[in-house]
Amino acid sequence: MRRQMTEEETREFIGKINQQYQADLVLEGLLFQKDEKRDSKKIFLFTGTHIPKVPAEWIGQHFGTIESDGNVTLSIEGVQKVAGTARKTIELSRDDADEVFAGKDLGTTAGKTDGYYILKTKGEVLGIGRVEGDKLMNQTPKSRRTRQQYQTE
Amino acid sequence: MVLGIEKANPSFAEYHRKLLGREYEDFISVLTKAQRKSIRVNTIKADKDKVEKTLNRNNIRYSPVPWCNDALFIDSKADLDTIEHQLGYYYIQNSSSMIPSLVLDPEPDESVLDMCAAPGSKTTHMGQLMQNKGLLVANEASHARVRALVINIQKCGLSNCVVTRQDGIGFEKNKERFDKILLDAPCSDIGTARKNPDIIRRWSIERVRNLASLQKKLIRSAYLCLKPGGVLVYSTCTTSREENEEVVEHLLSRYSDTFLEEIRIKGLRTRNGLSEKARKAARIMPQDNDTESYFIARIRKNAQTDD
Repeated sequence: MRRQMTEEETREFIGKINQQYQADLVLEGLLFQKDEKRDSKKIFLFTGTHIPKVPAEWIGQHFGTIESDGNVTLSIEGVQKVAGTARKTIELSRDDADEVFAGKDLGTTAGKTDGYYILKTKGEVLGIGRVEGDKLMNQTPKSRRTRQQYQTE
Repeated sequence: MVLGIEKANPSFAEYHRKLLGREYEDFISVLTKAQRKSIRVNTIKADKDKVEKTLNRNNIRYSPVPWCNDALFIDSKADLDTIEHQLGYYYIQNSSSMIPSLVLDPEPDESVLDMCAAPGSKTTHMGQLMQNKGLLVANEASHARVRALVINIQKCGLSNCVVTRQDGIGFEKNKERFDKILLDAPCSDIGTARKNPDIIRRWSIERVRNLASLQKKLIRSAYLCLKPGGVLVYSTCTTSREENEEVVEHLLSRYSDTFLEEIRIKGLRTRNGLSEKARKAARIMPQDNDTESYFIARIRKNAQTDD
């Protein structure tokens, strides 16, 4: 069941992102929330002029997920909006970026503390990764990895 | 090849000989050539310079698509599965499938319906033409195909879009009405024969007639979803008169408040529709632009309406 978030929930969600990724995000549009498995909540951003009178299967874009532990994991599109002001980032080499998009974990995290980081390479925003000890755990969704079969015309 | 096709499906050959006359052999000979690969730069996330840099870095040769500023023809052997593709900077799309969205010409702040939307090539193209503003409703009847549609909408960064999963027939029962509608109807797909030659083997006049009956129901529903003064683009990637001109004529004769508008796309050679009533529709023949076959009609509903 998807429902529109209240103003207070929206403020709280943006506050969480800003705190977690050390960012100054200002978001225009409406946020919707959908309850998922294991107490996580998927958050969607909708910027259409109005909510149409149709039974929606999907609305807007998946912006991020509030995980059951309270952390916010951002979708690639969410990261692309947050990254401009975020300071909690890791810069990768192009080779490492290729590994991330192939779905692999990386071995070195250059002394970063545990948690979620925004990944970049040469100005391009790639998504997020989770540092756990000396590993950068892969968070790239399977549908966005390279060497996927995708359907286009 | 001509002989090959006549052997593979004599009724296809006979039908198209009658339909195309002297041009039949030109048409068939293009079907033997591999289709040109093309991409559309997703201007919601990137500009052409950025994508061209990616192509250059990967040693991929490219050239402009004359009728679509945001599109590039790509060397057919190129591997386009790059990080930039996964980030949504470009979308792999057939160059002729870009034309219906250009003909509809959706603008920011309009409300637009894509009635048969999966896998989302035209939806995402319209989204970028609307600069991710206004309202875009993408409908797809098939549960299995909705997944691909949603993945492509997400990857292209559309946030003005709502996806519905309904039969297009009867969509008017929803109370929403639209400024513009694209009905890229399910069809016998002859346009895709360069990519999938099996399409020709499967072609039959019975299938064409069944599809035409479905298309007539869909176009009536699309008309009923339009606001007064709104625009409907009807398109197929196929050749038969039954699925093209006859569907448009059906709508024009049923609703007297509809009329066809002229179609002109710079850089693209088009032919007129095959009947007097549907003359303003455009036929795109594969031999004219080295593309798929396409049929496109732009229909306007009067500001004062029948319904």
